[in-house]
Amino acid sequence: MKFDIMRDRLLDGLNDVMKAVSSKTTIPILTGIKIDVSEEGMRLTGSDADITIQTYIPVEENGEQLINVEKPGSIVLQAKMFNEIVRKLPTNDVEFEVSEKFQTRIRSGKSDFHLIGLDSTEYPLLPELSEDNQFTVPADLLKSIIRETVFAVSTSESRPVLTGVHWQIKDGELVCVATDSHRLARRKVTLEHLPSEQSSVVVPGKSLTELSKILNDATTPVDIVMTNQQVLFKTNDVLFFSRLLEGNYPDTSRLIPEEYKTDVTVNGRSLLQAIDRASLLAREDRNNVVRFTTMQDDTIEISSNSPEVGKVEEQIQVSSLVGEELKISFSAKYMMDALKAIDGQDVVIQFTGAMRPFIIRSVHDDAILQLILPVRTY
Amino acid sequence: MMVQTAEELLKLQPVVMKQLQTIFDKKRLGHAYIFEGGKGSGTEAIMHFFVQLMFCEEPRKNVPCETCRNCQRIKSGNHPNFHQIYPDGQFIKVAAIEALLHEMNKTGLEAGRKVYVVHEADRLNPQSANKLLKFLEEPEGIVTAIFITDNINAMLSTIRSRCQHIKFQGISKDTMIKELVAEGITLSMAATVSMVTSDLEEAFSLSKDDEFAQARKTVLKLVEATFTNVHESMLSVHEDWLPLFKEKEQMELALDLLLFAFRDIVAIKANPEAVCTYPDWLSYWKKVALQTTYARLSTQLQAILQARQQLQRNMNRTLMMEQLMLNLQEGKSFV
Amino acid sequence: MAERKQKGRIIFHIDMNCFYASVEQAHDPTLKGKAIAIAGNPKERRGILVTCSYEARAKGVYTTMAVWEAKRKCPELILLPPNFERYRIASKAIFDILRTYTELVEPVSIDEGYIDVTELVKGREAIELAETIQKRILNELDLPSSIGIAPNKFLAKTASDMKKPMGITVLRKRELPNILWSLPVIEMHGVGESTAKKLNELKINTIGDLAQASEAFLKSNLGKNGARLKDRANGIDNREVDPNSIYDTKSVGNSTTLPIDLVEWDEVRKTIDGLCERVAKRLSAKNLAGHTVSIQIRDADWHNSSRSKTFSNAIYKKSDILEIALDLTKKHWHGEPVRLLGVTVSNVIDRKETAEQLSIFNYEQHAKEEPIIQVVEQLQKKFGKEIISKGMKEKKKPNYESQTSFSKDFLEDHKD
Repeated sequence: MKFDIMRDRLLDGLNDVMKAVSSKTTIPILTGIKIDVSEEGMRLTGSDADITIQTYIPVEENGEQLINVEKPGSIVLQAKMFNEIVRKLPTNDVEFEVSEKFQTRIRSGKSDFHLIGLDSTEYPLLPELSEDNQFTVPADLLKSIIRETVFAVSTSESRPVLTGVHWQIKDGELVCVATDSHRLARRKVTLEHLPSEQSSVVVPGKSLTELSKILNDATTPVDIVMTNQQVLFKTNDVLFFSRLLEGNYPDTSRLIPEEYKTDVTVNGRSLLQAIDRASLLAREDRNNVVRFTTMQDDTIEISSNSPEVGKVEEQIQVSSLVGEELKISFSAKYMMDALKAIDGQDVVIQFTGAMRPFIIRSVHDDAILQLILPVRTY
Repeated sequence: MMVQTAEELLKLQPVVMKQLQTIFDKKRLGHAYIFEGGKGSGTEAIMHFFVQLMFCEEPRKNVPCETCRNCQRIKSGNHPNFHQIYPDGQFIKVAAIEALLHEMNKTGLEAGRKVYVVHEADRLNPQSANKLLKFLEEPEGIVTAIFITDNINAMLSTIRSRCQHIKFQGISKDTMIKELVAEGITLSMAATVSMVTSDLEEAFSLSKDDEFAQARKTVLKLVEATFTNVHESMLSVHEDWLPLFKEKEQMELALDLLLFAFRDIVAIKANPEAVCTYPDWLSYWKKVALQTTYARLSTQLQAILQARQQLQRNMNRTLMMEQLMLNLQEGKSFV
Repeated sequence: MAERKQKGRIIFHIDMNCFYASVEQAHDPTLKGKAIAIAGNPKERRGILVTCSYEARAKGVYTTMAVWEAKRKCPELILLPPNFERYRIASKAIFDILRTYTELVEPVSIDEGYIDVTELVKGREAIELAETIQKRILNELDLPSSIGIAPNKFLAKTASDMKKPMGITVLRKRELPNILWSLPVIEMHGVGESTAKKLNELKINTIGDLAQASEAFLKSNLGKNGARLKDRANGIDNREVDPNSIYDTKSVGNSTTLPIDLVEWDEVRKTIDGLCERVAKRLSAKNLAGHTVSIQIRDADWHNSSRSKTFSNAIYKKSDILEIALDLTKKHWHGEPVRLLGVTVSNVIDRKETAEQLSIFNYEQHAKEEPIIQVVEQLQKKFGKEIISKGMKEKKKPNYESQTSFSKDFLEDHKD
């Protein structure tokens, strides 16, 4: 293998793939970055097994020659070392040459590095994903979908499948659901050109958080391919693969009540602040519980009572209060997380009873729906 | 580890190899196996053989090709769907199991089967075993587990009952002595080391180990002293034995070697043609065997076993050895 | 309170003699003077005696003896099933008598307790008072007792043990070396079999050895308990008589000695099921819930072991306790014959203090109770919160049908 490349372009590519490389891997080859060079361009791959990031640098871009390929080939180089070397090379022209036994020579200006590389056939094979089932989401929307759901995944490994977000394509919609079994966040998006076949995957929450970090806030399209092995997110020249969680995701659709007994419409921000104040007196070891009570004249009361600490009561005027009287307790933290995800708009809270899940959504639609299981007090 | 070919493994463990090849051939791969076998029985090598067979791109006659990408990566430890865990200190820690489950609860990085191997599986502490148990009961995806142990009874029954048991044959002493002699080891040394280990490799390195040779010599010197008088033996304990066997493990080995010497005498007394641990001492054994009784030899064997136990309870070594010397003299009148 | 810690206290330890047997004899006077014993279940020959009368003891029968063995030693032995309700009533009557003298009454178990009489008597009057109390319990309830008089709890308990039945013993600190020090450590209150074994391994064989051992040595080998035991052996004990100690119910547990050694999982499971049922009933009677569930297993070789699991949500329902107890048993029991099984819920708190975060997997069971909760809330609104919540609590009366002799339910009777 032999080629020349522009150092700044190589560095850009490395920056992306390095995000996937971890020193904690149990598979030795994954401490390296794989470099594949063909007549068309160069592909860099980094992976920690859970996520894999690939970048592509074409030989030529907008008439500018980025790479000059003399002889195609592949090699794996120690990621940390390679990254440091490229970062510190003296000129923008870098020359690579791999000879017998993976001997790798990197030259730039007057510096001349000799590295011992690793056999690229040892590197994991990424799945070939067909583009048939591909669909597209703008990067900024994808980012908010992640923000609105991923906080609700379980952090406990007792039900591993709940550590992921369930992505389901059904009836022309993409539905993303996360739950730690105590609360649930659901985001629905109507998209054009969704695959007609129903399909679903459970993407680890951590992978989505990592993906979010490399997405920009623009409307750049992100192509998504879901298979039963991996999920792939493609944007410009970056490919982001994630492994999936095994196991069946519980059917959460039955949790969302069909009809409600008590409907409250309230300003999200003022409710959030009241809950925040009440939670000051709610004891951590009692699930940080606050009490929500409907009152007369479109008023609700948020209260909290800890025998040793003290108590707090606060009444809030609501826009509307319809239906049965209700006293219900819930975790202040879950409520605040939910209100933050809906982001300060006027919200509708719908209850069906003190021991049943209730939902919180924007007054406008139910694209973002938050569901919370109450706390039973004795 | 010595790389062993399929033919060598077949010779070493014909039953096990046939069993595993049939499982593969009939496509009856199970969820979990226990490979039970002592040192030298080839559990490690055969596990590698079996795992390679499961992943090999072009197996021929139920033997992995050794050259395909998957075979290569099983050997180098780079196959992303193959995971192994080992004890950390005395136990396989919960953290190791958690990391494994974290891996197993996700789809493989590459398509197909996932395999995990638990080495020294009897060292799973109850907490770790229980963590693993749930996954073992309801594995997600296509998963095969292999637990390697030299003592299946030391494993939790809940794990045992969920695995298919593959029992390895121990290597015979005769075979080992022959192999060692073929490698140029003296028969006397080969006979001794074959009592200490059933792992051929370990036996070979022990045979070449100066420290081991010194230990053997010291033990035999003490045996001779015990048959002279108690003063001689006490002297030998203080001058040679105690300064040489400082670590608990060394003392353990020395007491074993001492036990083997007395066992030799019993064996020779019963049958002058018996196979000995110390064939080079045969004529001496014959001489003392004539002068002693079975009752006395039995007391002596028990005394050594008792010392072995006291060692485990961390008894003061000097005291323990002095007591042992007195006990070895018991039944013999002092002149 | 601080004043009570001063020197020169007078503490009584009242210990009822062969309590269950005495209650039975008081209940049915034809049993008086006869060898009787209470057995967990007299029909099951592997059962053990919970207690027996002095007449039975004279024939070599003792508590914890196997039924068949006792029958062999003493063929005329009358075996009775336990009647805990009867014992509970008798126990309450005894403590009621004690409370007519002072408020400083601390029940320790169904048949023993301490009272602090420092404010009531001086010097020799203490013996007279003890005689009066002992006579009253005998005359009014027909029950014999022994009373120990001493400056602290440990000495009082030791004293009450010295003369039975109907004994009154004064034990002074200075008498301790003469009376106790030559005895083996196992004879000392607070030293169980395992502690005694440990002490013997440390070459501490008599109570005197313990009294004179170095505190640092004991601490390094036995921890805090080592120092405490040395104090006791020297007659030092600063624990107060605390009438409120009954409120610190830290755990609720039931155990059962099995009529035959169990080896089948199914039988073990059934027994655990029964135990959980009883523990749940007792928790419910006390309106309690606990964060920790533990199981106890004693095998045929008398090896005891226990395992526990702690949760952030306090639990109290039978199904929840059972699930955890079975899980623990499954993991911990490896098929060895089982002699005794126990289930305990500890780290308990008043249910009013608890809050349970519902989950998508369990809310439906809770939702079933919604109508009741609604009714209660409506009543509370009408009549005020306190009345109803108290009413709810009182509605639940402890159920004494439990089979355990270690039951501390009787303590409920002393509350309020």
